[in-house]
Amino acid sequence: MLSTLLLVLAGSWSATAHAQQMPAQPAYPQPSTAAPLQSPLPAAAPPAAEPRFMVVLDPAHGGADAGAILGAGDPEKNFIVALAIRLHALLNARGIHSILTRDGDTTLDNNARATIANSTHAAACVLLHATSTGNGVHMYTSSLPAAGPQDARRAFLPWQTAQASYEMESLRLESDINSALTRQHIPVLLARTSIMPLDSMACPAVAIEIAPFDVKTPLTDLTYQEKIIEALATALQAWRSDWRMQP
Amino acid sequence: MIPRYQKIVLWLLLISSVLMAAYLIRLRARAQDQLAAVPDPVPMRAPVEAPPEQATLMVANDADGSLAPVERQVALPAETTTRARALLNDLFAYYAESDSPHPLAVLPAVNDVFLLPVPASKNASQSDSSSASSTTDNQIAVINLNRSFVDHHPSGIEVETLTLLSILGTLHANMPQITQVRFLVDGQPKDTLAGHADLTRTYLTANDVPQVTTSTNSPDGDVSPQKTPEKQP
Ligand SMILES: [Zn+2]
Repeated sequence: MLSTLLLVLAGSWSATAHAQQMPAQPAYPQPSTAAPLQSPLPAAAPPAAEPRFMVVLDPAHGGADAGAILGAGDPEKNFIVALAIRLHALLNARGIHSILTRDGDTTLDNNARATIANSTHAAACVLLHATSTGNGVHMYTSSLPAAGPQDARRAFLPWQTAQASYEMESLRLESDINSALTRQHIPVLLARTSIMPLDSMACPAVAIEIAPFDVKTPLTDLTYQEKIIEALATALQAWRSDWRMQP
Repeated sequence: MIPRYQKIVLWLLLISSVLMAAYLIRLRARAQDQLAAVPDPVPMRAPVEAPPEQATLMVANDADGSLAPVERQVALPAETTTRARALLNDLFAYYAESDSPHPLAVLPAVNDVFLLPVPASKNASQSDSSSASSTTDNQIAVINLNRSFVDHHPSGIEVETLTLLSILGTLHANMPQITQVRFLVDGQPKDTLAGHADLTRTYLTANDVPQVTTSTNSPDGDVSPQKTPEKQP
């Protein structure tokens, strides 16, 4: 009897004690004031007399990551890599050096894409996506707050927010592409977003999401695709002059 | 040899202690049943008796990528955590309607909203770390999205970005003390909403919504993606 009571008392006491010992802090992630320097970028190429103009084309998704399902049931990854390969060929034909982060159905993580762009010291990084939502071309620059003075950069950049130091150049690149698309009478939406690997790219960078032209002209329309490829190639030619003229 | 009367006393004591133990166990089971019958004190939804108030939802439109204010009468509790959740519940109920400009069908979208004071290092006005007292200070909202909602969210930069901006814009319009927002999905961190928009970073409600770019067509508001004036049919 006594022992039973003692056991009950001991049990309830230990439960209370346990409850009191529970830490009063919720398990939520604290906002990080400073992103960890996962992969500090090496110092960029010294200002040579003839800096090489290189474009990195990044067809999004691939392999296990199919991306969005487009109107005809096609995965975004297949549509966009085919378009990127055609743009790559056209750029090469016009004497603009460009590389593709992938040219097949391969899985490529965001760090690998950013590493390709950053180790190339690209003059333009163009991320390519497609969607069945909306119309025309949606063009995005990073929504990261712009980093401080220009001369503080090109030494070491935090990996997660490297793009913050390239805000002005990215906006100028976006402006060139916007002009070329508008000349082709393609509707353009300009906005900002936070996506990887855009935020990790240490280069003038835009993400381009191609939507159907309108309800009658789907993504599969070859004339529409040609117009977009032509506009992007023209814009990158214009950007080559702008980029060479900048201080 | 133990005397007979002592044996009897011993047996009586043993039997009575067994009986009392059985009675104690029965009492405990009954108390447990009574406790279980009491309704869960944690409110699972906004109390219905909250008076309807005018709220501004920042509603996304997939067709033109815009975000526009829509005035609604919403029952908003005074308590800030349930108030934030009631606001977001109403926003996603709006998106689930049949003529939604940004169709998102799966509800509920939000499991919980947690509000926490912005750490003192970022919020210089308050050096004291006593958290509960700082109701007028800036807050971080941790929004715990529902896994099923996320799994069925359409994939694309525009559509995902609009969902996030709509959440940020709606909180900013009605609860300006919420200055930062983070996201979880069923309590776990997730890289992206549906393959594109970043869910790992802390969003600033006043700054992360798109700001002025090169185009001039849009009003100067905080919450409005920019469109080119040249858009043609
Ligand atoms: Zn995509």
